[in-house]
Amino acid sequence: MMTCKELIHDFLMEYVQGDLGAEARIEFEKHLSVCPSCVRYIDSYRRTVEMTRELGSGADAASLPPPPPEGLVRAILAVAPKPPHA
Amino acid sequence: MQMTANEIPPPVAEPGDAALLARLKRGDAAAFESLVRDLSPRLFAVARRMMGNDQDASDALQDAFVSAFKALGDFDGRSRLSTWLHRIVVNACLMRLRSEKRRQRRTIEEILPRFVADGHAAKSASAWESGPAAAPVREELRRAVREKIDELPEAYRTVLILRDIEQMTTEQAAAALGESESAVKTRLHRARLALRELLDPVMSRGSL
Ligand SMILES: [Zn+2]
Repeated sequence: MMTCKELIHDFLMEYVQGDLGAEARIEFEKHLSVCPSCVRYIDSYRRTVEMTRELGSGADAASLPPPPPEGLVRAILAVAPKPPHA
Repeated sequence: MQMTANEIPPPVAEPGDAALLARLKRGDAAAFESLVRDLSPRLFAVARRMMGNDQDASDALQDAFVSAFKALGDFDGRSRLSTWLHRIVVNACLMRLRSEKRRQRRTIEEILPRFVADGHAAKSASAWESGPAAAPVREELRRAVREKIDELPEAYRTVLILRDIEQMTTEQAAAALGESESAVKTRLHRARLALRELLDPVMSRGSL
């Protein structure tokens, strides 16, 4: 029988991505059928990934961190290339 | 890099890119002003996310624009200016993360879930809050996720950001970091497990 540790460390990522081979998947799901803790764990793992992905999507756009300080913008502009004849 | 449908459109519109690029290549100061002012808020956010604080993000953003200004002559305009700059910022951050002796965080082992000798979890996993949260709670959660990501050890944080936030493929992240794909996969999984542990006190039912 697959242990909680094996399930979480070795098989969870592929399971969540749907990449787990048929045999391992059967073992994995057999464990889940008797281990409510791992069922809850997988749910929280999925949620962790979802919430992280949300930071990279537009969902986070409304809460962008403060804009770059004006001093930084000026420092960047100060090193911008100048026209060749200027 | 994947763009999602609800992402706010980059401020530099595609048709304008060619004209703007021509002006940039001529050294037109107004064009640089508009490029930097339009794009720096988004790029600063990317750098802030990768570097974990404003000071390092500012330094990385400055590095990135310096490289971009140097490389502008060779930029062929086949990708969007915003996409091109985004990639340069990510690279500038990676360079800094690699070179700097960064603040020592906890090791990943200290954060990862614990198991007893027979492989059972040392403590039963708690159920997480589910269902749609009100906007202020969602905002609170996003802040918590950002803070907890900042607590991850550097090597794990970087992989998590490239794969789950920047949405690079395993292959792209491996190339950007100069690591094998299997190392990236292992580290991503451990980073997610550690982040899940860090979020557990915030997300366990009854704590919101
Ligand atoms: Zn279990």
